[in-house]
Amino acid sequence: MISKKEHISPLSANARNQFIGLYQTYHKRLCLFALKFIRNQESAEDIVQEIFISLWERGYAINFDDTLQMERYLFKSVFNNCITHLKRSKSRHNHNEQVMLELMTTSADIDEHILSKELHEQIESIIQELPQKSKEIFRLSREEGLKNKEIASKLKLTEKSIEYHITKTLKHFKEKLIDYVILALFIIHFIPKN
Amino acid sequence: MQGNTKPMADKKKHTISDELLTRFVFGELSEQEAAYIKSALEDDEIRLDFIQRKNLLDELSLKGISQGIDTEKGLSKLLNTIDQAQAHRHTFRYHTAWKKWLQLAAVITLLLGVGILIKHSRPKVISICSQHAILTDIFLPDSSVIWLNTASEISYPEKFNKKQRTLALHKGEIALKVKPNKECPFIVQTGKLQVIVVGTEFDVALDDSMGLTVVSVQSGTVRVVFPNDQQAPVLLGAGEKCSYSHSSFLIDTLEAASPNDLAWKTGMFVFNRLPLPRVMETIAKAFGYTVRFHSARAANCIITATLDGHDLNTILETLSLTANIETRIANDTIYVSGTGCLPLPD
Repeated sequence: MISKKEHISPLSANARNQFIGLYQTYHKRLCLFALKFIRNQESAEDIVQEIFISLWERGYAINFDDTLQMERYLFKSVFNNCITHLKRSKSRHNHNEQVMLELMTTSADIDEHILSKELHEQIESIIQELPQKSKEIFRLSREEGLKNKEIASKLKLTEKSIEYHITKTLKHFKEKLIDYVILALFIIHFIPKN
Repeated sequence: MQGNTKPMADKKKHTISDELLTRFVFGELSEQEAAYIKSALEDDEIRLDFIQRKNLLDELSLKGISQGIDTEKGLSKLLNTIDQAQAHRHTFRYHTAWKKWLQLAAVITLLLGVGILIKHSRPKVISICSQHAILTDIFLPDSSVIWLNTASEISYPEKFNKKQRTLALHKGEIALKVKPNKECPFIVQTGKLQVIVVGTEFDVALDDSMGLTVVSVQSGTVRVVFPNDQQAPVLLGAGEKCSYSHSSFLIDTLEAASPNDLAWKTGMFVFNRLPLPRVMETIAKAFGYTVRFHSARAANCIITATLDGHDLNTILETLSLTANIETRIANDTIYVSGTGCLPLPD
C-alpha cells in the first residue's frame, strides 16, 4: 500500500515548489516558442499546458536539478507537440501550415528555431544604443506589451511623444538591421494601436 | 542596400524575399507562394537563412503578444486540474475498497463469459503461405501430411470438424498424403472445384497463368466435383491426372500422371528421350522459374536422365555438361545459351 501511496502523490512538497518554479520560469518562453509554429495563442498555450501536465504525471522520474537537460526537454516537447498539432489539423490546413510543417521536419533541430545568440545580441546592442527615454519606451512596448496609451500614463508623457519615440526607435532598427528593412517596416504595423 | 551587406541582400533576392517571409509568418501565402517556399527550403543554406530571418521576425513580433499570456492564470488552472485528479484517485483507492471486490467479481464473470464464447465460436483458421521455398511435411490436425510448393497458400481450421475435413487451396500447388478415415472425407477446396478423398496420396495445382486446375493421383481414388454440378464428378485412380480449364469449364485432358509432376516433392526428375526445352521447362516450373532460350541449337539436344531434384544448381550443372549449354539465373528466369547439339539425323 505504501508504494501505491507514493504513486498517488509523486511529488513531494519540495518537488511541488520546484515544479511551480519551473512553470513560472518557462511558461511564457514556451508559449512564445509554440507561437512561432502555431499562430494561435489558445492552441499554443494548450500545448504548453499539456506538456506541464505530462511532466507532473511522470513527476517521480524527473530530475529537476539538471536545468539544461530540463530546458531541452521542455523545448523539444513543445516542438514535437506543435508538429503533431499541425499534422492533426492537416485535413483543414492551409498552405502556411504545410510550409511550417515542411520547415519543422526538415529542420528538426530546435536550436535552429531559437534566435541565434548573435542576432539576439545584435538586437540587444541596438537597444542599448538608444537614448535612455527611447530605450525605456521600447522595452515597455515590446517586452511588456504595453499599449502606447498605457506607456504614456505610466511615464507621464503624451501619447504623441510615445509615438514619436517608437517611430524613431524603429527607424534606428531599420538602419542597423539594413537586411531586414521589410521586417522593420512591418514592426510599425505591429505597434499596438491606441 | 549598401556597403558590405549588399552581397547578402543580392543572394536573398534569388531565394526567399523578406516580403514572402512576412506573408508566411502572417499566414497569407497563396498556393503558388507556398509551393515556391517549400521547394526553396530544400536547399540547406537557404533554409538556414530563412529560419534565421524568421527567428528575428518572431522575436520582434511575438514580444507584443506576450502580454496576453498569463502565466499565473495558467499555473492556477494546472494546479487545480492536478489536485482534482489526485483527490479523485485518492478517494477511489481508499474509500471504495469494497468496490474492488465487486470489480473482481465482474472481471471473473466477464472471463467466464468470454471463455464460453470462445469454446462455442468457430475454430481458428490457420493459413500457410510459401514464397520461394518448398514447405515439406506439414502435419494437419488429423495427421495427414501436406507439401507446399513455392508461391502457394492454403488455409485450414485449427481443428477439423467431425463430418468432413476441409482444406482450402488459394493459390499454387500442394501434394497431400491423407490419413484414411471413411467416416470423414477429406476435401480440398479450390475456388474452382472440390477434390474429395477418403485416404490417398494426390496433388492439386492451381495454375492461374494458364487458367488450369490440375489434380494428379498417386495412390487410391479421388473424386473431383465441379462447381454448380456443371459436370458429373470425375473419378481419378492411381497414376491418373486431370486438368480443369477455368475458362471453358471443361476437363481438358485425362491423362497418365507423369512422375515429374511431383518432382518438387519427391526430388526426382525422370526424363526419357525428351528434347531439352521440355526438360528445362519441367525443371523450371518445379522450382518456380521460367526459361528463356538464347541458343537455337539447344532444342536439338535429347535428354534421357534421372536427376536428383533437390538442388537446382546441381541439375543445371549436369545438364550444361551433357548438352553443351550454359545457364544463368536472374530474376526468376533461367537463361539458356551456348552451343547446344547438332540436329539428329532422321
